[in-house]
Amino acid sequence: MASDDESCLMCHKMPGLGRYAKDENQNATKRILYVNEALFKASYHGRLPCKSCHRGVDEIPHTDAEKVDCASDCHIKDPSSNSGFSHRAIVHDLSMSAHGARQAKAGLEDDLPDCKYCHSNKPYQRSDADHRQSMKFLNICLQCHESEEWAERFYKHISYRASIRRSSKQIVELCSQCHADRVMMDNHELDVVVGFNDTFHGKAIRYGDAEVANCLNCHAPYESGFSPHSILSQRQSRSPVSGDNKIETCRQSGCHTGAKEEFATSGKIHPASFTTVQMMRRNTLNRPGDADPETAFQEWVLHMISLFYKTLIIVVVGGLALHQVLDVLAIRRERRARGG
Amino acid sequence: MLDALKAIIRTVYIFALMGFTLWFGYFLHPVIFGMDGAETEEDIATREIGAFFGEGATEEEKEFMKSIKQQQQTSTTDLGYMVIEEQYVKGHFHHVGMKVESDSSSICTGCHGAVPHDKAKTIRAFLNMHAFYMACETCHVRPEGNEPRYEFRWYDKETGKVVANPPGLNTLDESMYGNYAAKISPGELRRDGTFKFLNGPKELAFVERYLKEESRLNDTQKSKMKKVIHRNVNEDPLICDGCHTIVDEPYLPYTLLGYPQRRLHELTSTEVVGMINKYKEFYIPHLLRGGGVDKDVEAE
Repeated sequence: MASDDESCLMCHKMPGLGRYAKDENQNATKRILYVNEALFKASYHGRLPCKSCHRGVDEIPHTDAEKVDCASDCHIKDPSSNSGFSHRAIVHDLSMSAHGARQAKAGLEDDLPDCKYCHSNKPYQRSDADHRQSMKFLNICLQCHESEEWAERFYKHISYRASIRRSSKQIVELCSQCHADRVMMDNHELDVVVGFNDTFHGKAIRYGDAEVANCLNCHAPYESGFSPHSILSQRQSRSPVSGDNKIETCRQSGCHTGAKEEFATSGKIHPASFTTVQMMRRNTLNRPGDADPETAFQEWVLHMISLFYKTLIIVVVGGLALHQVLDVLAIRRERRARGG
Repeated sequence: MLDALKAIIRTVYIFALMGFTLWFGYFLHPVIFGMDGAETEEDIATREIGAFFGEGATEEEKEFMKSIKQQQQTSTTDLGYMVIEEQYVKGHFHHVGMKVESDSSSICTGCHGAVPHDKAKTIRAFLNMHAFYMACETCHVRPEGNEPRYEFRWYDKETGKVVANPPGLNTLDESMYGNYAAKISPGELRRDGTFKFLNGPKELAFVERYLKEESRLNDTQKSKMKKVIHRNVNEDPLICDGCHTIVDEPYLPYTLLGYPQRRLHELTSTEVVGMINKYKEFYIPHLLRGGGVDKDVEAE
């Protein structure tokens, strides 16, 4: 394995290699030191030597190992600039975003996501059909490029980056891990997002619609110069979901291009249901937003509409079922009366 | 005849329509009402905390339940051509690519866990690596004085029964090293040819009973029972060069355990033995010489 010149896998290929370590807050965290060679080789970082990321592991035991810093220069060149490759720009974006640790209240920095929270070292996706396609394409590449391994990896990288790597459902699940956590959101004085699944966007995602907007399409639209690493707080004026920017976000290409101003300002985008809000008020701190009479009225109206429709459906469907049962009974009675 | 056919068609039609109505209602309900009233994952967690700790659980108790949930959580990654299912470990970057079988037959893991070594910082990961395919008794229980040497066999982690040749032991695939769903454990060969592990179902039942009753026991009773459970444990465990040796006969009978010749050479190779000697000399002189503890351990 090209990336194991240091023979790291002599030990790290063994599945039980690991330990519990205490973090800064004295919490024990599980550290798995096993590396699955096949999956690593097929991953984005599969060509990198271990020491590219794991600095200071020159001796055994690795007492001087540094914490992996994604902002450091890798031991590979960026082919576009021929300079050392690094994720520095993305790390900088993240640190300046709503998710940057500097935005957290003191003592709550650990709640903020780091690179590993969202990204694992996934192998490139490759269906058999993709593989066949790539082999066809590779023949064209290899007319000029000598190394088949390099060309295949380059092709996989481009085709993988151009594909949808995380479904809308997975994105909603990922964001919900924190944003639907009542305690965590209370600690950070943020609204807990519990109403997204009630919206049309949420329902369409639940039924597998890949085209409908997920969290990132509104909070980090590439079209407006944002990325998942540069999400801003709604309170910041530059945020795509802040005040006047909302309508432009709704109008982005492929979405509600003809939307009028009222479309973005006529109500909450992902409101909580009346029942959920009541439950939240019982269980959590009363924040100023919870007492807003206008919001409370809107929630009550939504609740009444929901109740009306539930009753209507039960009456209509129940009435239909009752009608059918009575109809069957009537037929049987009629048949008996005719002596059949 | 025609009337009967009509009646059958009519009945089938009515019941099919009723069935369709109910199914459509079930299908359409979330579209109209979304998650309204549905129990979220957090609601489930809150309910479980309430059931376990009663009303007014503390933050620590909530954190405890969260950890338990996380332990049970698996992560599934669909790569298109393969699906990786593995235990979810928060913040772990590299994919493990397999589910690890828990050792349900060990009498030790109930209290000490599956990753039991945490004191000696310089070697704890290596020791835990060995705990993946070796029972605690292999190193921590050794014959005293003139007692006869133990025999060793593999046992299935799930059933606790002897496995003659665990799958993967003979493979050339290095990624399978140590991953045999079995562990080496000491015991004795009876006259009738059957093998009895030092700690079997009887000892496991005893430990389980102790854990069940622990909260009702006073300190003296607990101490007595712990002594019984740990009666065979040696103060000086087997050390690395007991098995990884070029000079002497290894403590573990590799060939009898089914290790292929190639693996035998690797385990007693200059590469492995050399690394252990380096450790012995520079990092953990006391521990590897036996009869003492590492400075790390003392410091902790």
